Amino acid sequence: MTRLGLLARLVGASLWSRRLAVSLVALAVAVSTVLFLSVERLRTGAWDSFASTISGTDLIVGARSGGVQLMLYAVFRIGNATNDISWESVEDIATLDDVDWIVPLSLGDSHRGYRVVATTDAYFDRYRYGRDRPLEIAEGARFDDLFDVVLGAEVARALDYGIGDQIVVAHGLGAADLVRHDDLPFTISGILAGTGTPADQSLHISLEAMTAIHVDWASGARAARTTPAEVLRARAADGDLAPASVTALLVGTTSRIAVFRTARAINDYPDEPLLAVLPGVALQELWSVVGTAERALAAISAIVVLTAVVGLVATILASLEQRRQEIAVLRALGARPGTIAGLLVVESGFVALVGVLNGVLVVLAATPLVGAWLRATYGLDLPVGLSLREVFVLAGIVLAALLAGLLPAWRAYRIGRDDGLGGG
Amino acid sequence: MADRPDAVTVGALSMRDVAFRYAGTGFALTVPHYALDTAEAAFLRGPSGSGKTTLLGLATGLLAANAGTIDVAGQTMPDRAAARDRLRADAIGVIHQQFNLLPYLDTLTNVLLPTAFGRDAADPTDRAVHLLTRLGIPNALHHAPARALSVGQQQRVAVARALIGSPRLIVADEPTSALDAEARDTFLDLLFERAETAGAALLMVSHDPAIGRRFARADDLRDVARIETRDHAP
Repeated sequence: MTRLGLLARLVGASLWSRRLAVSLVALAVAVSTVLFLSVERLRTGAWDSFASTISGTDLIVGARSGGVQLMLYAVFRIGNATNDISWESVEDIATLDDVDWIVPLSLGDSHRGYRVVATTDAYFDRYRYGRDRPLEIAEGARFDDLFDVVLGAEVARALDYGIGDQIVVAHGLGAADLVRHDDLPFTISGILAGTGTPADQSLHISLEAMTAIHVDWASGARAARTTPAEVLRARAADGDLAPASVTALLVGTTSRIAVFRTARAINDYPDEPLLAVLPGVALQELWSVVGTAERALAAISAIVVLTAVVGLVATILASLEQRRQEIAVLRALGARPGTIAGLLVVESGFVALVGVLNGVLVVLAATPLVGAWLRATYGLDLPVGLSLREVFVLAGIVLAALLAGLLPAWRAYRIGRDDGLGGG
Repeated sequence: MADRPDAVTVGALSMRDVAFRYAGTGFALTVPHYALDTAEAAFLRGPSGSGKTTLLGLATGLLAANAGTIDVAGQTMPDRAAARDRLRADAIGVIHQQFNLLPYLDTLTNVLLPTAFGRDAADPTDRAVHLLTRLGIPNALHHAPARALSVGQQQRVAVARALIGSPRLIVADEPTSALDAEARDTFLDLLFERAETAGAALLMVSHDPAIGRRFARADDLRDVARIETRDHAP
């Protein structure tokens, strides 16, 4: 047997003889790894989904509230607007010198838990996500008829809808669809390709359609006699169904320099309290809110990693007292204190490595399972593989264990140096 | 005995004008001259506290002498700790009084262990198997963990381990203390025979004068080494 083979067998048999204690330490390291990786993946997944949600839009405009809140309802379609923007204001903003284009958004209705977004044709041209990627129609076409609807990829997939299917929009939000616009069904004209953004979970109709389905409504209830669809189509063709108000605006400016000037102009708009935010700034602001929880989690997992490493060292140190004789025997056989110290460092490094690898296996196995649920529930896309950063963190755990193993190794070195032959 | 001018650097062990002092404690030990010929078997009798452990520590290079010269198998004990460890692994076989074997390793690996620290050699597995068989350890036990062996078997495995590196010197520290009288005599017979076959010198240290009667050469440790204990000044 080779020298290395013997030393490997020595470490292996020694670990095996203490397998229960050692497995518990490896388990602790594995749990720390799982926790650390989970936090890391949620964090990067959240930020990636976040940062790629909207691009190419220079300003997001809504009724005056907080930038974070505006971002939440206008882009992420979470929560509700406190106020609308009147159509007069929209027209004023559209005619500002520096404004290149606007995309009005009107929110408030839903279909089986998915938000209905009323907008204009420009939405499909102007909305960008990720690295300036446009929306693509996977099947069918944009809305043409007044009662056409374009589905996000996730909506079509989850509800198993196809082109030509008829759906009914519910008044208000909520999965129960208690109050429905069932007198005016929509026909699916197109389905968007998946984007990983809230657009996947949205149903897109025209602004006129939004006005049309609410024509006969007052104080949250529908009138007894409703206007037929054909009449509404005719009114739409006459331009009679312009909305009284919208929820938010996406605004593009003519140049980067014009962004701040335009934002100031909108924020100082005299006729209505409005708020214009830069998507990047609002994203950062929103992230700093979300990030607090994430930082707390990261701190907790760092503490757990520390605990696991401390436990590893404590176990090795505790066993060291029992292994005094063993070390004395090895010394008598010609093992140098440095060799014995090396064996202990390898041992703690090996235990940490086994723990980390098991943790990684658990995370990699669980990611597809949990990932599907996270995507469906929160629109979070988890990375499937390991990122370089994660590999570094994991290597750091093993390295920490190796460094921590130096402490028992140093103790062993002292034992080896100070003990002669055992006994006598 | 204490003055054999012919054994200077030849032979299995030579200690000349060796002085050692534990830092901090007042314990000091000096060995004016002590030597073992090639393949000579010698007994050193000494009770606890007579400097036994220290003397063996010096002879095997676990401890570094403050002064004097120690030669093992014609090689002078180096100053560097790592080189001393290497010399011990290569030229000296050690048998402890108990806890000799690593209980979690199988018998064969226990025997092979010194080769992990010594010079590179051809695969010693065959040699280890041969040694174990000659020492009466049946093949069936070669892959059993050492803790499964009886005390007598463990001591015989320890002999095989001491012999695996073909040492010129075997140092045995109270190797029979865990054995009864009959087992002790059987063990000593075996040890003498094996050391002789291997051509290795044997240095055995024990408090038990009964063992000394089995040796052609037996010294009292107090004649070989002078010990000085000094209480700490407050």
